[in-house]
Amino acid sequence: MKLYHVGLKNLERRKFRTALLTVGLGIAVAIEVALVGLTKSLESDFAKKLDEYGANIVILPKANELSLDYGGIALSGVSFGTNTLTTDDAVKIKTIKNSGNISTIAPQLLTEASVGGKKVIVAGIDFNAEFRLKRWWRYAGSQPVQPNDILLGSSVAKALGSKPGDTLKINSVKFEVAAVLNETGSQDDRVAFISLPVAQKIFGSKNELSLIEVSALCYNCPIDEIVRQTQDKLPNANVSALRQTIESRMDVMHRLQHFSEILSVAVVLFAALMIFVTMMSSIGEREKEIGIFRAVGFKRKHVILVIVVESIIMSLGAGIFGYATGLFGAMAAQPLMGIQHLQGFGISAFLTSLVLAMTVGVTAALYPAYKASRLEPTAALRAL
Amino acid sequence: MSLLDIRNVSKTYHIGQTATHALRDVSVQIEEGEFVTVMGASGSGKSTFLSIAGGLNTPSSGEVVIDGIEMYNLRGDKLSDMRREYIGFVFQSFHLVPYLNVLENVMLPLAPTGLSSKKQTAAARTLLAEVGIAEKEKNLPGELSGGEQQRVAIARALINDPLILLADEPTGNLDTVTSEAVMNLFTLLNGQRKTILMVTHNPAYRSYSTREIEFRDGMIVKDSGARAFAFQTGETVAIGDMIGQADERNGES
Ligand SMILES: Nc1ncnc2c1ncn2[C@@H]1O[C@H](COP(=O)(O)OP(=O)(O)OP(=O)(O)O)[C@@H](O)[C@H]1O
Ligand SMILES: [Mg+2]
Repeated sequence: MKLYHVGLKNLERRKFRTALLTVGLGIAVAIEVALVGLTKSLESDFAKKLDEYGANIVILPKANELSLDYGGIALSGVSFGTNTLTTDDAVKIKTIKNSGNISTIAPQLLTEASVGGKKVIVAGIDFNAEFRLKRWWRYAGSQPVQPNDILLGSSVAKALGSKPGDTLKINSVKFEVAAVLNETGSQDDRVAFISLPVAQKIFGSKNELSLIEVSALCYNCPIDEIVRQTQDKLPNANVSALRQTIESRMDVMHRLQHFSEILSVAVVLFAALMIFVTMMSSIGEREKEIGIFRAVGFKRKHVILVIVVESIIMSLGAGIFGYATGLFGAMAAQPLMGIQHLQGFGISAFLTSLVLAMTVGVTAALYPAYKASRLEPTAALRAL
Repeated sequence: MSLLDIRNVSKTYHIGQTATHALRDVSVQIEEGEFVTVMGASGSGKSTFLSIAGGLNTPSSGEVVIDGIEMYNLRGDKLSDMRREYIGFVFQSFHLVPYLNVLENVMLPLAPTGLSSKKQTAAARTLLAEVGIAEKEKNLPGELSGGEQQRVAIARALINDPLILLADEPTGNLDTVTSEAVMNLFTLLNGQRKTILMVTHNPAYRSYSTREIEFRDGMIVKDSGARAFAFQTGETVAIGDMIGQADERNGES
């Protein structure tokens, strides 16, 4: 009989105790795995949603760099210089290395025109892209789909006295008011939106664009990298990140990460405590056994070997069981929590559960050994 | 030089504010081959004395010298070696490991040694046959009677062929007949020059021993001294047979 046999026999002959401790430790690990994974998934889902919410990159023609201020839309008419943006440029954005991170590309042609006899900023847009980008848009009427549909900002509609269903003329082309936007408090209130191809046609600007708004998913990828890649593809344009938007998003994300880190630490501590309590419930029994080992001439290191062998095997079992249970638990919870993609259950999560189980299991098992080894063998034998 | 030399040993237990003087300046020498019965009222310090003699309990003061080695001056690991190589201990409440079977319990002291499993098993089987429960080697302690468990404990105490066998009320949990079998076993071992110290409350067992020591209030109040004794020669009855007979009379087995 070798020393490790002693530990193995304990696991084998006291199946109920072994099962109880394995399941106890396993459940603690499972809770940790599931909670940490679900938080991570929620976090990345949330980051994605956040990134899709409005543009975080703006592309302007180089020539108009100074005169075109998107924030205030101070337009001095669109100048058609040599460095113009075109519809082709919008397509090129999709060819960058990190194209997977590009969520929405919304091209615009801005111009001033007379609408129903009043000077109004008219924007030619891709309605689908624009509605995807500006998820906060609310409107009365129906979403514009026809080439001659027009969408009015609230101030424009008020100034023109128009409501959905009315007809308007721009450069003698007839449009039907499909919808009126609710007040947004932004420049959109003062703009009339029509479809991009129609705008390019009636303003005689072929395939030219005033600006392109892009929403990039930059949770996992630095925005600067995407900006650089886009700039390389569009040498005639000026690509810039909307710092303010990005910073505030990062701030939100960091808070969420912080929260989930605190949660994980709390869960790990809870798991450790749970298993510790379970193990401590049989500490007297353990101490007595250790007293026997010591009395028959085991050295301290022999006792520790017996206990470590036993607890490593048990903890490995608990780690695997805990990981599997945690993963299944998270898969069950996924639809309830509205998570689209589960994340944080990869190899590193598996290794984490093994390490967690081992650390807690072995520490909890060594504690009685440590305690008993400080006692005289006679005192340890009295334990219980 | 005595095999076991106990010099001015005192032991005081402290529990909270109260101190119990379990042993007060005890000195005694035990020679090789002696069979000593240790008597005395409950609480007189017998178990304390035995556990200190066996390296299981550090004295508050004094020295314990076995075979010329001062035990409690040894570092922890050396003391463990000493326990394994010099001493076999039999406890009143057996102290078997519940999840190891009879054979494994007997081999337990050999587990840290480099001895091959084959040799360990052979040695354990020989002893189990000697104490008469070879047929129960696969049983767990919980499946054995008190007498059987005590025989396993005795076999375990003997597996390292210790110089000294220390037994604290080895018959305390056994009926008269089984107790007698254990006493006969001890007599036989003593016949093989094994030194034995045995705590007992039964005065009748004095007759098996070569020397009696009596404790009162942590002091030795009577010591019959080393009696001239002759080794029984020509002993032919196997130990297992004696115990086996006892079991039959006892309605066990
Ligand atoms: N671990 C301990 N902690 C505190 N006091 C102890 C401890 N062990 C023994 N004592 C006390 O020391 C004294 C001697 O105890 P010991 O066990 O040596 O007596 P004993 O002669 O073996 O008695 P018994 O015949 O009842 O077994 C007793 O008063 C006992 O209460
Ligand atoms: Mg006692």
